[in-house]
Amino acid sequence: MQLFFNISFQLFLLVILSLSFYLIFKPTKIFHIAHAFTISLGAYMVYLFYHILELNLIVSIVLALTISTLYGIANEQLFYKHLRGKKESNIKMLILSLGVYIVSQNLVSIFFGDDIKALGKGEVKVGHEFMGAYITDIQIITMFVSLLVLLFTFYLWNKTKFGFAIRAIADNPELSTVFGIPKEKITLIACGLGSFYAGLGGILVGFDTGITPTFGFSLLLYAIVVMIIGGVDSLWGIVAGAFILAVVQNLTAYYIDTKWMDAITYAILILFLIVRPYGVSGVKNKRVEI
Amino acid sequence: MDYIYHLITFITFYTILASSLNLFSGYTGLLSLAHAGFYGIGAYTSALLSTHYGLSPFINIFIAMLFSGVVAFAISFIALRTYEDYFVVVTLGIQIIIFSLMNNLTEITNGPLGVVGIESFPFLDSNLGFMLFSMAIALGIYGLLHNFSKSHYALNLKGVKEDEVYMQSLGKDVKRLKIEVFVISASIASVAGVLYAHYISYIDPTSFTVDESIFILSIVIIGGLGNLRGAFLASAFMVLLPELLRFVGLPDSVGANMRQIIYGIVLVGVIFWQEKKSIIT
Repeated sequence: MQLFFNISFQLFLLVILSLSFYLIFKPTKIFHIAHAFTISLGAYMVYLFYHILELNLIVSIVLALTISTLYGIANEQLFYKHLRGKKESNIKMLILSLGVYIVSQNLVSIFFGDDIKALGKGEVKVGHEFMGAYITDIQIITMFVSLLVLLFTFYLWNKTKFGFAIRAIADNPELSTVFGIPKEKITLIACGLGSFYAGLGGILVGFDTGITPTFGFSLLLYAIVVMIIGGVDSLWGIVAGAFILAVVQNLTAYYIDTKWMDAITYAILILFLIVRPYGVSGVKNKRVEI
Repeated sequence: MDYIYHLITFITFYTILASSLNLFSGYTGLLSLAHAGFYGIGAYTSALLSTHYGLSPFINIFIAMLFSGVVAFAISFIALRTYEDYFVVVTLGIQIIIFSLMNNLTEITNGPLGVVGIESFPFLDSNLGFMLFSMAIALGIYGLLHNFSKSHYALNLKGVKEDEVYMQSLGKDVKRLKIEVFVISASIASVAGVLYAHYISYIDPTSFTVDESIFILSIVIIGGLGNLRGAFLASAFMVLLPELLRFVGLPDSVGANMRQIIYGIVLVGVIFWQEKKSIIT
């Protein structure tokens, strides 16, 4: 039973993180490494406002989410926009983004220090016992929030003009502008929304396990793995990818050893690239095997 | 004076690493983040062989190159199925797998505790001697790569970078070319690993992390893809930078972060600078 809870918690966590990455990746095709910092930034801003400046928790979270959203938008406005459509722009953006990540992460290290910080105040509570398994408050909140985010994204994707526009840009950027889709604006909104989700995910993880300046990076890598094994075609692909990864990671932790979790995660990624290069959702990804 | 020898020795290590990665990335345009893995494989192979079986490091160099080449050969089949940014992500995954093997296979590698008491190269006890020796090796590799860049083989590789499909239509086995150059590049990286292990006399997995891979890749990017002399200048810059910061008087804790910040900024700057340049030409 505990295993089942762990898997579902991990599943929801991965869903929110990979959705956040996917929203940015879908229209822009950027491997936005600095996104890892967006994840940590949310959590660190909560730490700043809630612990150091001692503001109200809700106010701190709102401020933190605003700041992470702005960070994502700033990345797009300051850097990616200028490189779009240039020769070898994908790889350049990736390196650029890596540079931005390194700078931002080290600034946080300087200001906040490298030690683990807990976001929650007060004593650590024992989780609720439910059918022989333990689950904490924050884990329930995480699952709930992530479910909301997922439903909201589904709604956005299938019912709103914004969702159509993102998909149109992803399919064919040039043609979408011909049809009068404001490409720049939509991309900017997608970046903002993705960063918002990332901040949210980071804060939730922060309350669950505590934060260090680099914790976003491994989470981002999981999100990327989820996206690649799920395929970039549909939202269901993301959910399926998250499910596969959550099951595999928890089974590894349960039956083998937690220390092998990272290795197994990437082994899965490589396995998928061999047997199903297009991901679970199965649409051709042009940059794998032309 | 020992301090300066030490710095120069490190510059040569990174020159070897950067120029070997440059061989692969410069010619194929694919950026690999698994290079620290091969560096580590070289270091571990030699360290374990010399501590357990007492083999001479001179022999170890060749065994390490062979082993690293075999591993690279296996990896290349998977990794080279992908392109551009996907390749970066896959090699990042491979790097993490290699790291966690080094960290977790405690029976073989002694895990996080690392391998201690690795003997130095015979006849090279002093730092000066070691510096000259590694300079000689780095120069040798430099010369080799320089000659290589003039060869027909390199011309084929350049063709692959410019237009893969066209090269294929000329009847060149593009995949094989890429695999070969990946294997050679990994073998050369392991030489730096062997030198490092015997120089420091102690290795642990933290020297061969993703960060190290990123560091090597940034050297290559800062030096310029496909630019051999650039690889050397950039290694010198990246190794000397933290020392300069120390002279400025920054405390070590902030210094490490400052160093990373500077090279992050340099990376961003290089990308934009290249962009500007390509507009003019």
